[in-house]
Amino acid sequence: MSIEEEYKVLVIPCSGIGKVLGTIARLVAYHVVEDLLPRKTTTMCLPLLVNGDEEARKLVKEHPCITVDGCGLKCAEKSVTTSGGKLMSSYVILSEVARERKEGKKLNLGAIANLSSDGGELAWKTAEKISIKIEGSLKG
Amino acid sequence: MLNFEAFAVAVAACSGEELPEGTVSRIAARIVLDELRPNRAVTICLPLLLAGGEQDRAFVRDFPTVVIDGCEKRCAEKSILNCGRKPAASILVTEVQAKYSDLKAESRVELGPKGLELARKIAEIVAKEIDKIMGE
Repeated sequence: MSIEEEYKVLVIPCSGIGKVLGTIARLVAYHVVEDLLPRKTTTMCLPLLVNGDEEARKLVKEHPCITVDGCGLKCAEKSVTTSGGKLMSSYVILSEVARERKEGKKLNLGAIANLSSDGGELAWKTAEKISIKIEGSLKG
Repeated sequence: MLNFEAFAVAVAACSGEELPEGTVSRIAARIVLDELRPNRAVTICLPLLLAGGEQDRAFVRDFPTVVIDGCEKRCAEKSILNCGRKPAASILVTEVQAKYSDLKAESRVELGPKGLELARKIAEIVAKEIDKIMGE
């Protein structure tokens, strides 16, 4: 992986495969790095980082990281912090779901390999929220 | 939740975020679990395993694992080895892809029909490995 610009922010999802929340986390990261802030962000393989890849560890130490976890176990956040990464902010999809439900929305997120429109919309909404956070941090 | 009562094979996909092959590994694992061998395979949440999830680590130590890696870095295989057990079988997406040059994922977000077909081919290989492990 190459990071061409010094201010690039790493958006790292857990991509958990046992719950639909992991799929949403993964899609959130792709929306940010491919659709919303492609020149200012990038992602990396979480297993590569946790398996101790030197380049991956160097990148998380040198660039601000935003983690997107599916559930409260926060595997991506834990992995970045234990690798000595610079954690800018962390998001948990389960908390985003709880927030939406508190507002009275009935969400059907779909399946792990096939998100529903609700799941897709939540991913997009969370990605927008993260992009605003990144833009704010880069300006500040 | 992992089921320790029935004999099962764990399927661990790298799910690598950087490459389309990571998405292929992930979808292949789900095809095995959801369609091909729903009562014989369970999945291991790799980030949880790597973050020290005790239940997942115990499962990997006690039960056979088939790994699906997207690239030569073989993160899923390394992760299982780090738990003190050699995977029962290792499948590399790029190796399978080399045999079917027309099958390629469109992107890491959307596999497209050819990418999905590749994921299904890989899932079928994994299912055969599971059958071998279970002595069938």
